Amino acid sequence: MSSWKESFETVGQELALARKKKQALDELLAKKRMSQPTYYHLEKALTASISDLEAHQRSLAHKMDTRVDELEEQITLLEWVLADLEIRHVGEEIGEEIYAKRKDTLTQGLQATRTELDEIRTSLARIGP
Amino acid sequence: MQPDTQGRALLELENIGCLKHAEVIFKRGLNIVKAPNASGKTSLVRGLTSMFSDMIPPAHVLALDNVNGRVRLQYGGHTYEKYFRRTPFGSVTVTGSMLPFADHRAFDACVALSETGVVHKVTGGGAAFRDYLEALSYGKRYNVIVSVAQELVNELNRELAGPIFAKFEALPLLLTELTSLHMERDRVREKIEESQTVREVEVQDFFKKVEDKASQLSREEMTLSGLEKDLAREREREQQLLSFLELADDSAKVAVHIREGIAESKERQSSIRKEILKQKALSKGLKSEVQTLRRQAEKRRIEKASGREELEKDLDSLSKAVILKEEEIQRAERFPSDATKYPDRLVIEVRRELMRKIEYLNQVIEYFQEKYMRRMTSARLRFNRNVTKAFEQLRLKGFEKVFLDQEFALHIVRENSIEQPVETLSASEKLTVSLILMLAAKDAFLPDFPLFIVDELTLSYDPERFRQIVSYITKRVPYVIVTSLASSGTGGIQVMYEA
Repeated sequence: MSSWKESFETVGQELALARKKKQALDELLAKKRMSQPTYYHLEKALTASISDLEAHQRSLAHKMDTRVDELEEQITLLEWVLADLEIRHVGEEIGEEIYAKRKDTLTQGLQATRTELDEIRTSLARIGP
Repeated sequence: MQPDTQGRALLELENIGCLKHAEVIFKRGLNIVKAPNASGKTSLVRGLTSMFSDMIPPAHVLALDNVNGRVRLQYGGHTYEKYFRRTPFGSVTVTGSMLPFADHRAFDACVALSETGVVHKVTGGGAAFRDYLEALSYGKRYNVIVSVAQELVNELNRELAGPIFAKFEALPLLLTELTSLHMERDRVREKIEESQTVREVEVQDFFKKVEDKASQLSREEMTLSGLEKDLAREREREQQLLSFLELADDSAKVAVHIREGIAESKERQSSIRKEILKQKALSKGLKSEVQTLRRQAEKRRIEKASGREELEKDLDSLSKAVILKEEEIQRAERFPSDATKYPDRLVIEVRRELMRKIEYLNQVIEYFQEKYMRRMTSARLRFNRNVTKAFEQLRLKGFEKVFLDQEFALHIVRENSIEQPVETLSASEKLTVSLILMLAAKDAFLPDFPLFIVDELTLSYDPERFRQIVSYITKRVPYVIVTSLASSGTGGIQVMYEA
């Protein structure tokens, strides 16, 4: 989980830096601190780099979307299993000790899944639709 | 070649090598020049060679003890002359005309001296014949073009690696540094704005506190004013009661009541006065407090937030750093006006020009390398074909195949396909092989050259093969000149002819 997040954040930082660089470059041209040929030379490389980073970010976002679907399914399943556990507990099909143990495990799993889902959604929200 | 009617050629030499004056007639066929040692055979060959090739340095042709020398050749109804002159500085200059079929390559392909051409390569045990074929096939010209173009590319690359171009290449890095400075400056600006906002809130809070105190003071002053009014009323009441007391008779009951009222009023006045004193002290304290707070508030309003000066200093230095970085970037994109090359020009434009040149030169290199390879491969194959043909026609015993491989190394394959290193051949075999290789080269590259000169030393080891090979050459070349050692008592140079 941390690996995609790290990649995603690194790409995000690099992209922000590249955009700032582009801004600085535009300023240099506007202030006539740089000639047009040099500007276009650097701008070309910078634009290509931004495009690459955006494509990489999109690819990561796509992977994360897929992961969101997976996590949502996982949550539904865990909730269903938890509800089933509750019913079986109420129906006294399982003992108190087993119930507590399983419930604890399921709750922890559900919590971890929700946390991951939230993190992904937060990161996705940052790059917009 | 157009020989005269008798096919004769008259060679005259003056002050050439050890010859003061010599006249020699060559005829079509085999010309054997016989002379004892140190009587001018080599000088004759050098003089003759100078008429068709400039490979022998003029200083090696002109007699050492003379200032002027001459070589004259009457051939085909024309006279060709060359003059050698020693300058006061010791060097030798040459003027005059060359033979119409002159070709500097003939020195390598048609003059078999022991110290030159392929003879030297074989007898010295040399492996690579690349240089030899390069010179004869003009492949060297392509190689020279490739070398020159490569050198130019290297020079341009060296130029592109110079400090000004290196600075230009570092522009993305400088841009990153500038961006970092921008980001740092923006952060400091944000901090300043943030501290300003905090400060304004603080000052507003302080002013509110001052206003609260002022309101409290106002309330206390109103209370004081109320007390003073109360005191005045009490005094009035006391006066009224005193006037009632004067009017009342001494009937004790009324007077007692009035006196009690007066006493009560006095007591109340005393109590109010105490209250007033207290209230005045309180108001005074509050007034002073309000004044102090107002002064403080005013001071706070004027003075900057704590740390703000530091931040402004940081902002100032960052703004300066941004300007310096921008100037650095500006300098990096242009050659200085005092630069020896390209003054004031944009680096990117010069860079593009140089890159274009490199690209063009690389195309030239590629084109001529390919031409060179083709030329050399073709030269090697022609050479190998002629060598094989010569060995077949001569029917020399002991040799199955002699050829140059792709690396231009000479291979000698003996009977039963046994390969023998060139170095291990006998002296006479080396000379035989070298002469055949030379002839193969002549057939391949100078087929119409009418002359072939063989130095006796190259063939004196094996008289039988000498005759076999010379006979083979004579069938293929109109004029064959062979120098031969005569016994010391035979006088000067003599020429024997064999048709």
